Amino acid sequence: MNVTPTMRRWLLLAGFLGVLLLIAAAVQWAWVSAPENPLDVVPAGAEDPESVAARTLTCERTLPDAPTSDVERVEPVGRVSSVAVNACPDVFDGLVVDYIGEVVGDVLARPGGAWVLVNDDDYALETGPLSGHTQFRGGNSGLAVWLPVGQADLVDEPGNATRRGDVIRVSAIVNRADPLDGGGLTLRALDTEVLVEAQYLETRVNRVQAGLAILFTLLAGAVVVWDRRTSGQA
Amino acid sequence: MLLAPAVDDLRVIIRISGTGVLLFGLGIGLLAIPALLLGEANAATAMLMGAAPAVVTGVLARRIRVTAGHLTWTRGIVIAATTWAACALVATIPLQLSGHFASPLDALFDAVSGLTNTGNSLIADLDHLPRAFILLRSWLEIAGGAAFLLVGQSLLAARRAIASSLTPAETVGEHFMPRTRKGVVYTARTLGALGSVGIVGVGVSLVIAGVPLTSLPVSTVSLTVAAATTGGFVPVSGAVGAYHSPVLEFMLVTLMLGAATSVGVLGAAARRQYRRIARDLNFRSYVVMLLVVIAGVAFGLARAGTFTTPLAVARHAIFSGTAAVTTTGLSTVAPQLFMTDFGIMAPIALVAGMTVGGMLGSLSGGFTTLRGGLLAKGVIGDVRRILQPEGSVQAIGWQRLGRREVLTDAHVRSSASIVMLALITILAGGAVVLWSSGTVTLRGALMTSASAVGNVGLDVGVLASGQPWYVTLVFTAMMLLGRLQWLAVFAAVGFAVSTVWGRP
Repeated sequence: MNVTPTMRRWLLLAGFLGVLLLIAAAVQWAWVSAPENPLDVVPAGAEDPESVAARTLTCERTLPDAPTSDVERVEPVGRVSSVAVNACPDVFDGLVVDYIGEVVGDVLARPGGAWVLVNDDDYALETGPLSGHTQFRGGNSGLAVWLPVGQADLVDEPGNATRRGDVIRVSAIVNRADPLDGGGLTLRALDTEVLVEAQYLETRVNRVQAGLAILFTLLAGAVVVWDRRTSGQA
Repeated sequence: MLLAPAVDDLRVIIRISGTGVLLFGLGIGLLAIPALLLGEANAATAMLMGAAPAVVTGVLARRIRVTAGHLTWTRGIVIAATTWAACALVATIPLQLSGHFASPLDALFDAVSGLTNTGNSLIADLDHLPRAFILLRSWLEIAGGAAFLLVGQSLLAARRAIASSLTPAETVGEHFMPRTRKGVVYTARTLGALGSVGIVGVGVSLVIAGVPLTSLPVSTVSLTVAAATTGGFVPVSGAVGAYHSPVLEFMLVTLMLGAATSVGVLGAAARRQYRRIARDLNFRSYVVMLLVVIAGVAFGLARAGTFTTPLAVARHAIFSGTAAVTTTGLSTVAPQLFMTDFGIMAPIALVAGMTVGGMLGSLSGGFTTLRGGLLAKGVIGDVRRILQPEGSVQAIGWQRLGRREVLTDAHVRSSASIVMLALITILAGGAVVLWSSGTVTLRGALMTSASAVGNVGLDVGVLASGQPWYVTLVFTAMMLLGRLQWLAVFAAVGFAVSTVWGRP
């Protein structure tokens, strides 16, 4: 058969797309073969935060008046979520709130206490780290919390890829522009309780992925060796 | 009639692009070592699965024989676009296998975001991401940054840089290989110097901040690379503010400023040619833009009553303003707070900074301060012309690192074209966001769009995992358009179409 240049181009393109599809299929196979290992829901953490959070979700701050940080006027408002506080920080400014979440990242020890990042998203309180399952629930959401000496010692295992970190309940004052943190939005804990100690995920190797990786690497190695030998001859 | 490119053209493009993909793939493969050291076996196998196709592609491409010849500008542009696209596909493999992306399209979005030094992300549960993948994100930023400097030092310089592909009349030569060699040296020096300063400075800052030694290396690399390449990928969801460290923020601001300064100006500074730098239009426009944006953010924050002390206003204005103009996209606050607690003026100032960007010839995105400066000069020239007596002729000059030039209509026209394309793309991106969601405000949509087109990545909580697929696709394209410059992409697409459908 006489292959024209145009046909040759189409054949090349088809071959290239075929190889791409094969690679995509292999990746997809490896992805769906990942072992599932979701953690249990944190009992107190999974409950819906009380209505105060829902009430303030849609508010937006644009007023020019400066907020006050008079500690004496604070009043407890119950449990809040990070989404609600981020949606309307000025409404919560100076109030005493309850906040439940998983400590993630690093415990940043400082004189007088420690800074921690406490997430209250679904990965923190419901499904556990995404490394153990495929239930996608969007991005992370959390708040910076200052734990004074005594309370900071309670937290020693923040969350990472291998574990859900300590889940804590803090009673804290919301500081919309914390002067001790250069104006950051923070919670300053008055009282801290560890609800659930850190939970480790069972580390399992994805065997399909490992097998495919070995196969891919051997193939690549073979191509490199073949290239070395034949280019040397040339 | 559409003519297919010559076979030799295709051979050159495949061979050089293949070399780029090979180097990129080897980098990913090497990440399997730290993954194993960190005890992350699945991450190691994911890296190998990504590296292998890249190595095979690269080795096969390098077997293609090409006849000796100069690399032309058109070939160079196609090579840049092809390499970027191929590397993004390669990076999608390990990212998807991380298990932190809801779909391969989301993983591709992050790959493009990293390679274009944007920093937007659709990753889910970043705070539980294995550390090897944090290093992979940094590798994307390094590879993308180095490639961009190379393109900037060669392809764009070959066309006198001012308006990249828009000024064919100004072509001073079709050959860019000699410039590329120079570019390699400049790239290595710039990234090396910024990286060295950054690693030490950021590492010490993190120790002072209280970061434990176990997570110090990965956090140091991630934050240094994010600032020094204007990439903007951070290792934690809480942004830079999560470290509660003014020392760290100072270091990152320094790195961001360095990354958005052109390689030429950095070189002149090393030679102590301060007078040249002071007269350089690119540098002057950069300084003016920085000051205007920081002042605008400070004024907006003070007016909104967001912060109660001047120190807090200054901290957030300097950091956010610098992150916007340098197109780094790092932030000291949670994404939502830009919309809910920064008032109206501060976000507008940030959008202006993101749209303009840093200096031409640096790692930053945006339409760059030099083009802004040329446009401003053009407007001033027009006003002067009106005020002058009829018949009088007055030349307007400008300087670029000691080289005096006369402002021509071609300069202004080509700059205006790029600016106009940037603004149209921002509006189009904003319209797509507004159409896809009934809850996003116009301000949020425009800020998100400007952030993508300017390769900034300043997240305001609009783009997220689970968004409609077409939004992901449009914003992926916008990041590429912003990085490769619009007409360069058109040239590459035209080349691809003529390859398949053109007559031999």
